[in-house]
Amino acid sequence: MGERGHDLLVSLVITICIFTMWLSMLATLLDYAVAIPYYEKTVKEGSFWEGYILIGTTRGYYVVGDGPGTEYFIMSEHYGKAKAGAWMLAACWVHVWGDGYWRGQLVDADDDRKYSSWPYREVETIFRLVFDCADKVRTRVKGCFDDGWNYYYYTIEWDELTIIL
Amino acid sequence: MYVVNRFFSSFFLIFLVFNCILASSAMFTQFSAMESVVFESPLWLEEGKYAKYMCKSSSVELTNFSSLGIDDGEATAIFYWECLSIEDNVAKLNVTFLWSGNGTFKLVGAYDHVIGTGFKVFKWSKHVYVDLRKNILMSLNGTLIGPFLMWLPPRLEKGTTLEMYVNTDRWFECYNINDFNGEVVSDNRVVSKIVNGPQRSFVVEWEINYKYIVANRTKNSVYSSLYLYDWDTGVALSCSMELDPLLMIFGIREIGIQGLLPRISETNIDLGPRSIPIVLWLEIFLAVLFTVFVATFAVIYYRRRKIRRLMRKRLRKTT
Repeated sequence: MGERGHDLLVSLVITICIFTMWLSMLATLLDYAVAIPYYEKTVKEGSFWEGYILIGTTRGYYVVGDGPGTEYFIMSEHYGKAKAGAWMLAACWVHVWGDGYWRGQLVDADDDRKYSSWPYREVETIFRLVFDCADKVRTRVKGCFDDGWNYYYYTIEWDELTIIL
Repeated sequence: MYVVNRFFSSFFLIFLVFNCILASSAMFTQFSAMESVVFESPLWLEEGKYAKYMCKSSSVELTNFSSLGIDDGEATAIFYWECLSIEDNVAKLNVTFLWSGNGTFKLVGAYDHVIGTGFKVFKWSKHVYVDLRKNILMSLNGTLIGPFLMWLPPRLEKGTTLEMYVNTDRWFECYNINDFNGEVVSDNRVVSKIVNGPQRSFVVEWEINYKYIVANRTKNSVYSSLYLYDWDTGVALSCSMELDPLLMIFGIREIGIQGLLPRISETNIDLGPRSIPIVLWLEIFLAVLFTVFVATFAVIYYRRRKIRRLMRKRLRKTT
């Protein structure tokens, strides 16, 4: 084995070592961030024949892992998605917002709004809540529609009960 | 070669002139949009003038993250303002918000409470001052609250921007408004289904930068709401009333509009002549076209029938 062969072998070994380290770190991260779907719900307002459709979807996940020290914790993530489409009307924008509560205390609130762009008549947006614990999450979805003459607003409101220990 | 050169030079000249026109029109639009709006006391505003707005509502969102909701029924939201007096460019208004309906009412928040069933009316009312030279809403002790949006100077053209006064120190429970700007997005829309018949309007899209406190953390967000103002008077014909300081003083963030935006349902303000919307013109045109078609068809049919009858008569006579 010449000098070049030796260098090649050393660099190969170092590369394998680094790659293994990265893999093990990634595996730990993936293991830590294992997200288990907790609930999912879709609600709808309007229909094709009414000229507009407003859809709201919520998804809850909980993530299990070891917290600081020996404390065991569960972290929850809540997603709210709003989708507005129109046939007779034009969907101007869609707004989704929500708030999470734990034992009567507000733990997180968030909102997001997205405008539709011409000629696309469908628009969707997502908001996210992150909290350690929540026993109630509210989601509200609002869509603004336009028939070229009048503006219309439609709202859907619903609760999710997410009892997390 | 001379011809080619002449062609290119003329083409270049036309191109240059076209670009100049484009640039100047863009600049003109920019400058016209940059014109600052001068607020002044509306000519129609006097003691006793009022306006009432109405819409269907599903809930009333409060500024403390809770809300009033209705199950198994429908609610109506009515917003009302009346001018009580005007002194030194300051108007005193009586502002009232009513939310009523028949069903099961509940307070929704961390815990849901059923407030009652049957027909119920929830009422909020206050007296406020409005600085007519700046469209600023003030409390009776003179504290500046925020922008007043129920009227604007009339005939604002598309592209006009509006910078409204905000009191950044004023918190409406969990909410604080940082910035309140508007832009006229349309000046040729007709508002229908209002008390005085369809009216021409200009549409202002208000952009509201605000912050709110959640679990001792401050979050920033942007919201936008639509207000349609009468072209001749500048009074709001239709308004979404979201994060409007006029409702925030009652602790209301928004009024859960279902369907049409709240629109003027009763007023003693002269909104000017009715305007026929383009859609209606189109409907009239189609109706006329259909009538002409039917009439022509009928005339042709009867003439042919008449001719046939005459022919038959002649045939009978000859036989």
